[in-house]
Amino acid sequence: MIGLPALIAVFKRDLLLGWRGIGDIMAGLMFYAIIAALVPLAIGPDPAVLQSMATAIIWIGLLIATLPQMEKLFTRDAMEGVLDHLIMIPAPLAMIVLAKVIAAWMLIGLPMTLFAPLLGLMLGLDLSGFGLVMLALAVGSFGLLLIGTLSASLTLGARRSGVLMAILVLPLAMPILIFGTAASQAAVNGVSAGEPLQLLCGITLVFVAITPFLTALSLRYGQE
Amino acid sequence: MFDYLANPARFQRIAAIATPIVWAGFALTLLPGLYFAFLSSPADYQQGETVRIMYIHVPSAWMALFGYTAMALMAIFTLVWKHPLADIAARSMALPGAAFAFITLITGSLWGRPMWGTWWVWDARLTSMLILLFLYIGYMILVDSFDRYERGSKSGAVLLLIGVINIPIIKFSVDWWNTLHQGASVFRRGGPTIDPSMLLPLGLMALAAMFWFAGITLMRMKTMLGERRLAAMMAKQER
Repeated sequence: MIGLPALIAVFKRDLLLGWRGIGDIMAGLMFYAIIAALVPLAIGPDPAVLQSMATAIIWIGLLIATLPQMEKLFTRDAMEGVLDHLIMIPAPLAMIVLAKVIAAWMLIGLPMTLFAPLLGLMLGLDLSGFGLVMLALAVGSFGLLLIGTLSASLTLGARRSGVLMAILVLPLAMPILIFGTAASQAAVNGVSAGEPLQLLCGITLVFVAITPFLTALSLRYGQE
Repeated sequence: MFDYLANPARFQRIAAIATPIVWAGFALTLLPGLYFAFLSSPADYQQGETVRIMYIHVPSAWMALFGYTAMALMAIFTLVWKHPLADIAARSMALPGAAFAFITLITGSLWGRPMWGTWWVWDARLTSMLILLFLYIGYMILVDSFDRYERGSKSGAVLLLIGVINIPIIKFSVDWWNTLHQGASVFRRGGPTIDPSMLLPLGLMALAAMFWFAGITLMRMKTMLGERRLAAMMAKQER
């Protein structure tokens, strides 16, 4: 495939940059933990109530905690002029976008997925069956990052881009939230999570098929 | 036809003729529509008088869907053929479209209270209509948040395209999921199941909603074209 080395280079570069700025990842995880810590303070420490809400909190926390990180996905590249070069690479821009999404998922989605059991414990969940919840989180966060990347490309250079990110990402992420929480709740309850999990994978695949192209389109127009 | 209309000056001339005609059509459909809807049509045997809410609710819902679909079409014209007027049209339709989505939710809520016993349920159709309202509002905020006008247009157009996924979900939500919201009774295979005495006011009100949408869109387009010209003139003066 033409430009495959370029894709790998973009992927490695993003990973390396993310690793060098590991403080951002830590801050994101902190944010995630704080959201989960606020809930018991707000609704009281009753374990039964917390348990029944745990998966919902884990998912809503994921949606909110990833927002500030996703907002900055392209700002650095745009500021340093890297974005112009990315657009000129002789490989399909949509593929470059996908490489960046995968890198971003490893830096944002994966740490949060691995961090989720801690939140589960904080909310009094029994961690048997949590493997499926993490699988759903891994898939769901990938879909979320696809939407987030598109939204970041749309809001690049906008005033009030932070609020805009929330307004654009959250409605589009609703299918992920619906099927993700359904799969997680089923897994926690010990019933078959197959159907919602498949729907979650399906909707994520739909986003894989559509959003890289729209992101590429938006980046190209943004640099005109 | 789109090439022909792409010239803003020509569009202005045509719009000047079309606008009064559209408003006349609005008056001619709204008045008999209201008469039949509120005075000269039977109450439903189950729903009673609350069925009359439908004559506002259903046309609004249709127009909310139609408005977004039309905007998405305009987005394609903006992105592919770079039609300046297509972008103005999409921006103009956003506010009336959002208004229709809002009216749909409010009237549905008012109807739901006596009929379902609740203002709101989180069922598929209600939720997807709420997302549509969010998409309208998100679009309006997005196109307005850039210093460069064209950047807002392009970003907004791409957002419209991704949001289109939601349209078939709203339309078919009542068929795909077992929801509280009733199924389609007008545009369905095998013809409408709604009684003719109710179909007449519904049709008139739908036409009135369409005319209102067209009238507002035309007037907003005219205003926005004026604003664009003013901005261009100011920019020239500064130079």
